[in-house]
Parts: sequence; structure tokens; C-alpha cells
Amino acid sequence: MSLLVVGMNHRTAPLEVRERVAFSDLEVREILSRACTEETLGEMFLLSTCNRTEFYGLSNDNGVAEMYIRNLIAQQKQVDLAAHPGYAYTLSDVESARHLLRVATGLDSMLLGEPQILGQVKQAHQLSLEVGACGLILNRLLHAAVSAGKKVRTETRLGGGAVSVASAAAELAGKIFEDLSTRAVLLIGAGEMGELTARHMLEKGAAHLTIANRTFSKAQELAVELNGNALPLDRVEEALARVDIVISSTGSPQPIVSEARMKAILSKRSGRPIYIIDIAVPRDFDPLIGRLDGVFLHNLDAMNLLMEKNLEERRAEIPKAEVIVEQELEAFLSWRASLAATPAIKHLRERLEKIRRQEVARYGSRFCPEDREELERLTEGLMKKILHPAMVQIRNWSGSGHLGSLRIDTIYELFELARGEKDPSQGDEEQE
Amino acid sequence: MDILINTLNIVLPTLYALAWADYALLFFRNDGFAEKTASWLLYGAGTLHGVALLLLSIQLGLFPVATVFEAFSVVAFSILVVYLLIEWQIGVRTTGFFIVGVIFAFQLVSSAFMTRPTEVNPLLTDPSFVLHVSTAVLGYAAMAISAIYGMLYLMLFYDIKQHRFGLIYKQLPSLEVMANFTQGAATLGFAFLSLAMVLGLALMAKVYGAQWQWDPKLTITFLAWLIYGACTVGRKLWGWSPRRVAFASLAGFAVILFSFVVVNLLFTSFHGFV
Repeated sequence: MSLLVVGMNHRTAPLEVRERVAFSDLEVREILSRACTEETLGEMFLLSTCNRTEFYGLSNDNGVAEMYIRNLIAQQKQVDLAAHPGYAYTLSDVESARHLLRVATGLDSMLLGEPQILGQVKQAHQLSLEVGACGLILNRLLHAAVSAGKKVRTETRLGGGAVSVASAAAELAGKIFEDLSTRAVLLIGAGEMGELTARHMLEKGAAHLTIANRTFSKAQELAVELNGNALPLDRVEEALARVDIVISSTGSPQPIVSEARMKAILSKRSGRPIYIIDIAVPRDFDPLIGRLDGVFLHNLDAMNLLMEKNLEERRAEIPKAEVIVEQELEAFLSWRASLAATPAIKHLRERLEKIRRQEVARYGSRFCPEDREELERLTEGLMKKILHPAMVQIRNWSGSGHLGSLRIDTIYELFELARGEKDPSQGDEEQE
Repeated sequence: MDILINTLNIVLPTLYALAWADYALLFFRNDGFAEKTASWLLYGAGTLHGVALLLLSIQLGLFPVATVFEAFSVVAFSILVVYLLIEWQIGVRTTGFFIVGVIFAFQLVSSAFMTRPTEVNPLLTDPSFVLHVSTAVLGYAAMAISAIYGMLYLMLFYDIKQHRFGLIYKQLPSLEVMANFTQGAATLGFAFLSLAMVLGLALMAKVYGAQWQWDPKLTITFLAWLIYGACTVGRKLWGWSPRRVAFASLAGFAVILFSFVVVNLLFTSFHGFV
């Protein structure tokens, strides 16, 4: 049996297609249950996130399995993959295993190194286990993927540094203030980006949020939702004298705070620093304010600069992450190949024993009864001596990954051994 | 014992140089080996340094602060102890590169120029003199730490202000942490120096029968004391920003270095050193 993946992601399919082929947990359960009974795929699991939908499976015939999955997508989501062949990709065996490991580590993500994907892989694994669609091989592969994901997170900086405006603002706040839990945040303007940044600050532990907005009712609504205070926009100066972090994103065509007003506000702050994230375009705070002592003023350009720098650092970590992926992949392939050793040895021994018996039966009558025992011992000894180095070699090969697996296949062909019921992927070996 | 002390005199700067290299690897390359070994190397160097100072005290029969170069070694040791406490408290090793560099510099100068006094001034064995010098040396060590963290504060401060997100930004702890260490160490330095000055004035009255005089070294030390006093109360009394405290701490330390080096060479004073 061979692994395969059929899927589409942010690189191959546009958003409107990805939206359509996204599967809910309920749909995933139903599909996996059905796949289990139809037996086209020996094992299966489905990873469906906003940026990718991927079917992983184990099959005797990858061509048939691929058609089965493509038809399933077409029927369930009315996406004509035949008309758009570039939307979906199919990878077989080693490449599909490598792909899953790269996905779990964030190497294949739209936002390089993003950490959510690891949780999503774990969730998909759990769902597949619950339905009973995840067998010995996929289970082991998913363990390898999660292990690779964890190692990449702890041993590299692939996920380090903020790469969104909201997280960049929180990262910078953490460079100015040691503990955000004692810091008060002021959000000026209740726009989407400002709100997202404010939410991020609260997630990072910021103590309190005040929201000032031109439409006071909107500020009140958001204040209720985020457990903060609402303030009319004309009272923003009193809040500026008090808070530590300001996120500003109004639609005002003119700066709402001038340098002179900020100087007056600073005189009430007793030297306490203030961090202003001005993500409004045009800007809300006069750029000259950034020169004042005790004021850290960052606009969208500064945020982009930090994000680009962090992304650069993430890219520099790709080789380290790829090494981890290859190590985990090699371990998985070695394990899978080792499953083939026991049946191969058994089949070889049976084959030689059969030949020995046939030959002894054919020529046994030419020996006197006393010598027949000697003949048995002699042929058994010969067989053992021939088998021993072969058994040792097969065990060695079984631990040497994909190449070993190919060599074992050669043994099967050379001695015309029958595989049949002893295919390890059928799950007759150790269970995890 | 001479052989042992002489050997330690060579071993100590060597160990500090190695530790500095380790902290440099940690700061510039996030080296995993350095991450594991830097602190231990410093602990090892610190233990040997403590032994060296103890042996020197036993051999001389007095605390080794009779010459400026002996005092340099005590300053290095004091900075080391305070730094290890800080590292242990905040769990951040990336500032070590800057601190260990200063420790290495003090110890190198001390080891290179240290000489044994041919005759010992009886004043040096007086307990109140030993206390006077010890508190002064501890004060200088604290001030050195304050100045280093002040410098790091300013480096990060301007990097954040001017949107430079390089190595300094990545590796240093938050501005607030460094502002706290600048201020805290300055306060400690001010307290020790105050004690040293009171003890010094008492000694002066006892030995020379004299009161305060505008001796160059005393005047310079008084100036440093004033600066660190301002660092201590500036934020609370006058609303100083952490940036101003950092600048003041650097200025104070520059005055102390001036006192150590320039005044010692250019002026005559009744005072042994500083």
C-alpha cells in the first residue's frame, strides 16, 4: 500500500475555490466514515483549514484513490477539478509524507512558520482517530508530523517575531514595558485594524482598555464586548495623560494630536513613557511627536519594517526546519520499511524450506533409511547457512528507509515470493 | 603561595576573556553551546577570583585595596557578583556580553600592573580604613553596572525610536528592565559611596585632624556622588525620564573614570587613589 495526498492550497487555488472546498468537522466525520466502508482507501484523514484542504490516504492503487477523492470533492462541493486541473495537486508516497511534515511545521503555510497549523493537524488527526479512519501507518506519520512541528518551534526561530500589524504592535510594547499586565491601553477610533490590535494587546495581558470614538455608541458597544471603558473623542487628552499604550486608527483627515498638545499632555505624565501605535492613514499623531522624550511613536511604515525584518529572520531559519523535516521523514520511512522485514524473512524461509522439502522428497528414495536423517540435517544446515546472511541483510535494509524498502522488494521479485496477506499496512503488526 | 597568586593572576583574565567570548557568541549568534556554558564559565571564574582575593588578603595581612590595581580587581569581582545576581533574577544572558567585557577589562589592567607593596602603611590595616575603601569600591562597582545598563537603555531607546530593529532590538530585554537596573544600581552605588565618604571624612579627622578640603580627588568624588544622588531621586522629585537617568549615570561613571585615571596622573593629592 502506498501513501498519497490530494489537495489544494493557497498556492494552487484562489480564495473563492478554497472557501468552497472547506469541510466542516461534521462533513469530515461523514466523509471519513464513508471512506472506511467503501475500502478504496485503507486509511484516511482530512486536513481542512482556511488555506488548504488536503485528503491523505493509503491505497493499493493511487490512481483509483486519486479519482475517488477528486470525485468526492466534485460531488460534495461542486468544484469541477477537471476543468481547472491546476487547482488540485496529487503527491505520492514519500513526497506525500514529506508534504505533511512540511505542512505541520509551517514551512508550507501562507504566513511562513505560523503556529496554528500544528494545532489544526492535531485536530484533524484526532477526528480521524475518532472515526476509525486512521490506522497504523497514518497514525505514525501524523505523530512524526506533530513531532517535527514541535521541534521546529522549539529548536528554530521559524515562528519567531511578529509578522502582522497587531502582533508587531504587541511585540514592540513588550520591548518598552516589561509587564503588560499593569498597562492601560487607549484605542482611538473603532476601526477593524485598531480593534484587532487592541484585542491582541489584551490577549498579551494588557490590564485595561479605554475606547474613544467619534460615534460614542460604537465605542460603548466595543467597550462592552472587550470589557473596557468608552470615552467621547473630545476627552481623549485626559486619557492620553493616564494610559501607557495608544492605538490610533481614526479616519480623520488631519492629525488629531499636535506636537504642542502632546507636550502639554507629557507634562502631566511625570516622565512615564507612552507608546503610540498610529496605524491611521492619514496619520492621527503629528510625526514630530516621535521626537519627544518619553514618546515612542510608530506608524504603519515602522510596523511593516519590523514585520519584514522578522520575516527575513524566519526565512533564514528554513534550512534548519528542512533538516528537522528530513530527519523525522527518514525515521518514519525506516519504521515503515522495518514493518516489511518480518514478512519478507518469513516468506523467504518458507520458500527455501519448500524447495528443500521438494528436493529431499525427490531424491530421498535413493538413500538408505539411516542416511535419510543425515540428508535432512545436511539440507537443513545448508539452508540455514544460506538464509542467515540474507536475514541479517534484510533486517539491516529494513532500517535504512526508502532504499531499504526497495531492496526488500527486490528480494520478493528475485525469489518470486508472494506478498498477499502479509502486507504490513493491513495492520497485523504491532499497534500503537 | 606566591606561585599560586601569580598563576591566578594569569588565569583570571584568561577565564574572563573566554567567558566574554562565550557571551559574545551568545549575543551575536544565539549559539547553543555558549547558552549552556557562559554562566558556568563565569561562576568558575568568580570562584577562582574569590579564592585569589582571599589568598592575597592572607598574604598581605590586609584587604587588597591598597593600590589602584588591587582595587580594580575588587571592582571586577563586585561587578561580577552583582551581575550574576541580575542574570539569575531576570534569566536573560544577552546583556552579559557588555558586563563581562568591563569585568575583563578591569581584571586585565589589575593583573597586568599589580605590584606588591614593599612596605605597608599602618593606616591600611585600620579596620575603619578597610571599611572606607571597601564601601567605596562596592559603590564604584554598582555605578559601573548602572552606567552599563544606562548605555544599553540608550542604545535600545534610540533603536526603537528610530525604527531600527537589529541585533540590539532583538537581544536586549525591555527598556523598563534596563531602566530599573540603571536606577537600582545607581541608588546602591550612591548609598555605598555616601557611606564611604562619611567614613573617609571621619578617618581624615582622626588621622590628619582635618575637615573637608577641596582636594582634587575629593572634589571629583563629591561631583560623582552628586550625580548619582540625582539619579536616585531624579525620577521621583523632578519627573526625570529614564533616558535622563541613563545619561546622568553615564556622566557619573565618566567622572569616576576621570578621577581614577586623569586626576591620579595629573594632580597631587593626599588621597592614595580616587
